[in-house]
Amino acid sequence: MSGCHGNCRSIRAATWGFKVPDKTVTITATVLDEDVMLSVDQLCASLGLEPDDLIAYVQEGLVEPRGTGPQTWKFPGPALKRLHTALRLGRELEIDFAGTILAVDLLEEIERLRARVRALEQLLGETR
Amino acid sequence: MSCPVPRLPSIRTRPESADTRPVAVPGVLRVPPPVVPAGRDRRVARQRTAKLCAACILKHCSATLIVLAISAIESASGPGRSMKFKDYYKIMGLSRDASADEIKRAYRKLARKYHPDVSKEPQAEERFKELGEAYEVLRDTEKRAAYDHLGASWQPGQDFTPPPNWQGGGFEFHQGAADPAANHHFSDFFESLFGHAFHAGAGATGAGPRTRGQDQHSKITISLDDAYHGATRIIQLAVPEWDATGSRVMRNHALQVQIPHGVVQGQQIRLAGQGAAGAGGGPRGDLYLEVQLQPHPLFKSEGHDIYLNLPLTPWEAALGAQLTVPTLGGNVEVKIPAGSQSGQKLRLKGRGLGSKTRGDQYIVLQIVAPPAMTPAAREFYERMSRELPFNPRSHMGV
Repeated sequence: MSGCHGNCRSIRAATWGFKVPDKTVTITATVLDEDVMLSVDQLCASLGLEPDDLIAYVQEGLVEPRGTGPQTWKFPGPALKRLHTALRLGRELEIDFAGTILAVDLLEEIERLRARVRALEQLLGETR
Repeated sequence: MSCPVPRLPSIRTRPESADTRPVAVPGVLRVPPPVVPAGRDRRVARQRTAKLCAACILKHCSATLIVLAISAIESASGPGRSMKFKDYYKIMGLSRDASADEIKRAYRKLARKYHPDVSKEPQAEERFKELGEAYEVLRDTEKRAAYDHLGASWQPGQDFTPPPNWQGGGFEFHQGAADPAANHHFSDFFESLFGHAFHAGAGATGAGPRTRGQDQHSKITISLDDAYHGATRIIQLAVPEWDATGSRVMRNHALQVQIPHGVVQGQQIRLAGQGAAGAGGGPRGDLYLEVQLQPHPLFKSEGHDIYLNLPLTPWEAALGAQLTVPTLGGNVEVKIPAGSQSGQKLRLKGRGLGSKTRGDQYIVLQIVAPPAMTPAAREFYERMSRELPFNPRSHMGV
């Protein structure tokens, strides 16, 4: 293509992946939406979490897996963010297990309300 | 419960101004303008982007591609570089004779105030990082004693060089496996005081058994158009790795990232294998970016739905009309029903955000009356008042 020096060996590796030359890397980006399913092992490896701790979070309702038991549990993508936030709050604010779960719920509710307020403010602002 | 999940260090970016020096913008990873113009057909955009080599893209973006992790800059600072003294007591609002309980209470109070997940304070990320570093030193008897050994004559921000033959003031530092400091990247000042001894423990991890690298978490800010269409971005960041001596160092590298279409505010995208390097030859962790959407002049997003305020003339509202309405996917023709009123919502199904199932776009009608600027316009309004008797306040009883 014009403007390229021709050394490019770009290959689209996957739906969202690219391979580009030199020291850059091939990236496959995945949106962690409700359709992405994560296993207990994946979550534990990603978060440095013990399976027992994950089970405790499930029992408290922080995240809701699909499946009949820990061996078959699959968690929707957003569970990772909820768990990560809970773990971080627990560690960095030194709050207890139940407190982190409450905080995560409240933070998500605040974020939903903020988005609604932003949308309403725009609509009200334009009608004034 | 301890949590080894690391936080990606704060990011330095260059603002879109003539000043080319890196500037600290805590917490949010900003990216350069799109390689592919927003609004194009996604398939075409992807094909075009795939043909660009990295060097060309970097050249193309050189004016605005400035994403550097603070830790990368800090790690580039060698021992010979000047650094500023940090007054950890002042950062925590404590006197030098504060008790362990006072230190803990001060940390908890300030951490709640500045924690990035909770706080809306400006510079919260930076303040929280600074606070974490101060707490790391002052809560540890050995580190605090070594720090106190420097004396009380130093001023915050004063140029600082460790005393000759400084070996931690004669103290030894030990890092437990559950030490949260293992996941933080502290300042040059901290590293100069405690770095060598501090990392001696970490080094064993680096040269130890084969383990997967830690996942990294950060944020990325993109426009609403890019969220809808998807976009290619190049980001440059620093990730921790182990060097030959087993110490953790930061490696700077550029990534070309294809952001999938349909991402929503707060959603995470995962870049597999772009996190921290593993120890003992283990695989890298993943990089997670939380999406933050920039404000848009026309649209507002709420989850997967998009809201647009649509001004109408009184006659369009009264008589109905076929109007051209902007959406993130391009203009569409919309039939406005006769007898519409301000505040009514119309739904454009599937015109919102989302990858597989899209949300909707809501059009909120807003009737705008033309000003009576001319005699003819005034005469027209007067005629309306005579021929269209109407009291919009009748429900108020007035």
